[in-house]
Amino acid sequence: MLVVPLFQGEEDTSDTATASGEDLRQMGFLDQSGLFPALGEQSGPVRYQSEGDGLAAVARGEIESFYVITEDYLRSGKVEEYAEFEGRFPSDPGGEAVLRALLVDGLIRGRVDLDVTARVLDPAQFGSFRVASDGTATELTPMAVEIGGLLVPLLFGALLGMGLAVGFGYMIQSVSEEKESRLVEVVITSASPLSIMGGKLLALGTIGLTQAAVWIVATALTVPAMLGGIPGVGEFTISAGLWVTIIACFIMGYFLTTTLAIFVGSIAPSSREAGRLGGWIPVLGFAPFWFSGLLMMSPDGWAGRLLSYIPFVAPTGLLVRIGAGGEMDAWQIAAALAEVAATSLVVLWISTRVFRAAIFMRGQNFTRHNLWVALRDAD
Amino acid sequence: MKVTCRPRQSGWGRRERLIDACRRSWQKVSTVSAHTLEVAGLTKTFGRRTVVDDVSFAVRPGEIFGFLGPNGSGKTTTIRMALGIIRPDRGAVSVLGSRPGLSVLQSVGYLPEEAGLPPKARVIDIIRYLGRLKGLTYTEAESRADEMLRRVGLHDYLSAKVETLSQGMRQMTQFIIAVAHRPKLLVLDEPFAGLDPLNVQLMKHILREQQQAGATIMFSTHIMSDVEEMCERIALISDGELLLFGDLGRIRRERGVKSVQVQAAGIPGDLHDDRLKILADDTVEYEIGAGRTPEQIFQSYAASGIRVDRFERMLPSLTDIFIEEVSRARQV
Repeated sequence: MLVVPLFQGEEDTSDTATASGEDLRQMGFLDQSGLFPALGEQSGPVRYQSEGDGLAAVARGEIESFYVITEDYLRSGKVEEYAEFEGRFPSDPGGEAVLRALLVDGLIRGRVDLDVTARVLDPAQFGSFRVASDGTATELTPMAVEIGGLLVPLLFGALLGMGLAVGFGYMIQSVSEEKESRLVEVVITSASPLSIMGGKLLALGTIGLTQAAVWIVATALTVPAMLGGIPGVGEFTISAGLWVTIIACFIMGYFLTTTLAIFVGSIAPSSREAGRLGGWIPVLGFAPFWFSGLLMMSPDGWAGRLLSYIPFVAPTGLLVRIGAGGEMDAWQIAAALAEVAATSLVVLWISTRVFRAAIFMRGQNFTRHNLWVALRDAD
Repeated sequence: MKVTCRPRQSGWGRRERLIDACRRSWQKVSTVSAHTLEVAGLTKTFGRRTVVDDVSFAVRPGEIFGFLGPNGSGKTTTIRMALGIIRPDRGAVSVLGSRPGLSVLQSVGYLPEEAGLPPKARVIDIIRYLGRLKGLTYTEAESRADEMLRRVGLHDYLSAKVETLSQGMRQMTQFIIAVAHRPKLLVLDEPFAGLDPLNVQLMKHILREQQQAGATIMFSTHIMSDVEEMCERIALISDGELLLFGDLGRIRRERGVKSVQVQAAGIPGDLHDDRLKILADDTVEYEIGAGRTPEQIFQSYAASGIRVDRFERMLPSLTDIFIEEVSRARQV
């Protein structure tokens, strides 16, 4: 990105050129080859007379990076780069690009015109196309988009699975404790079971989705920066459609899982029993990952379709399928999530009746007749 | 008054007979609109044990009604059925002239026995929350909580967590929750349990104020002195069966005179036997029965010429009635 301003700099006095000059002063160099006597004049990078001076300047924070153009540079092209590198993929592609441009400029200055110099610096912008059996060609997506397209949905699928497990645990504990408490006798004479459970859903759902929002914002900030830091990967952005899908999957996933928790909490005789009875339900959130190998090979095959349309696994199933490269229209995603919403509403309706029936039947045996009568009367 | 829900006609299906029986119970209940709370033929069985068996009684508007019974007699289960918390196997309930649905229960205050308030909740929050569920606005709930907490001396604990309160303080907090929305009917299950005498007096005082403001109050207890002090009418159950129901004074009068107390300068010679009890202040209590009547005792004093300062026919105490009735029921 700095290349163009640099080469326009000689004739351009705009803010962009000035800013580029400031960036350049964050760079230092030692020219052991003697090939670049003009480098570092005016607003260019800072020239140092020894390697020790340059390293000390980096240590003091006066410059961000220090380059040693080695004595045999013309033959080997070797340039040593010194900086306070951090992270798993330490690199400074921006700085390297700038130095590369400066070196090319220094080598060919006065021999070719500026346009040719620019092309020398960046000789090709590749576009890749896949040729189909009928001879038609479609453009391939850049590598960053491919990596991000795999990583982001899978990452959010895993986060969703964890979030659902946490939300399920909170809800099941809340419902079973509420049922065991005598306070429920006061509450049940003041509000309908649907209102009570709806309130719980909203409260715990808000907590869960706030947590999810933090994850989403953190990912939105870190993933593109992380991918951008990997040399050769390029720029990556998460599409609005993917964001909408992720958020919808989180909301629907929470809705269904917490209503299932209400159901289990209502039928279980105690909070301990509730954990035992429903402990397997949060595992459903991770079930699509078991089939990720299959989905990678054929994301839109039968496994992908099943995992997208079985409501109990669909929220994470959709994300894993999208991550595996599945191609779903917006209406297909909407239909799958609508199915989750409808299932949640049915489960919620049943759960509130079971919750009320469980209070109706306090102390009684769960016979088929008792249960039927209690469910019938549980308005 | 007893209403049975048991089916009497044969030839019907079980379901039809039950529906018909309950309909008849409900018709009988719903025609008596004068009562604030009425239960008819309530029956509840847990497993093989019938904990409430065909219990019927009614609470009149504006009265304080005592619901008595020994521990485990079925009081709490009856109250729960009366408020629609649990479902009766048979029988019908009328609360403020309607079935105990949510809309009518908005006008009912309920203090359950040993209610577990959430330990981490703040006192003000839980009162406000339950007040709002009963239809108060945020501001109303807040101001009533503030007013009532001040009244019962718990204002300093307004922001305290429930877990920091003593048992008595929690009971008073529960009581505030029950009365904060100024209900038409207050149902209190063992309200004085866990309270010190000062708080018992304070709660009774507030209950009388509620009564004067037009509320009907029913409370369950097994402490007879509380009932004698507060109630005009009572129902007594034991082992799930209704033993007594009606006006407390009438019940005591119907039992007849149990003894007479005489405050006099001496004791006639013919009354010296093991059926007398010497009390303080020259007072002697004579047991009535087995051929001895109050009139005979009075005549003995008159014949002996002993000056009598006080002669009083003693009706049986509620404790006596309670023990007698419950013992008799358990012997049967």
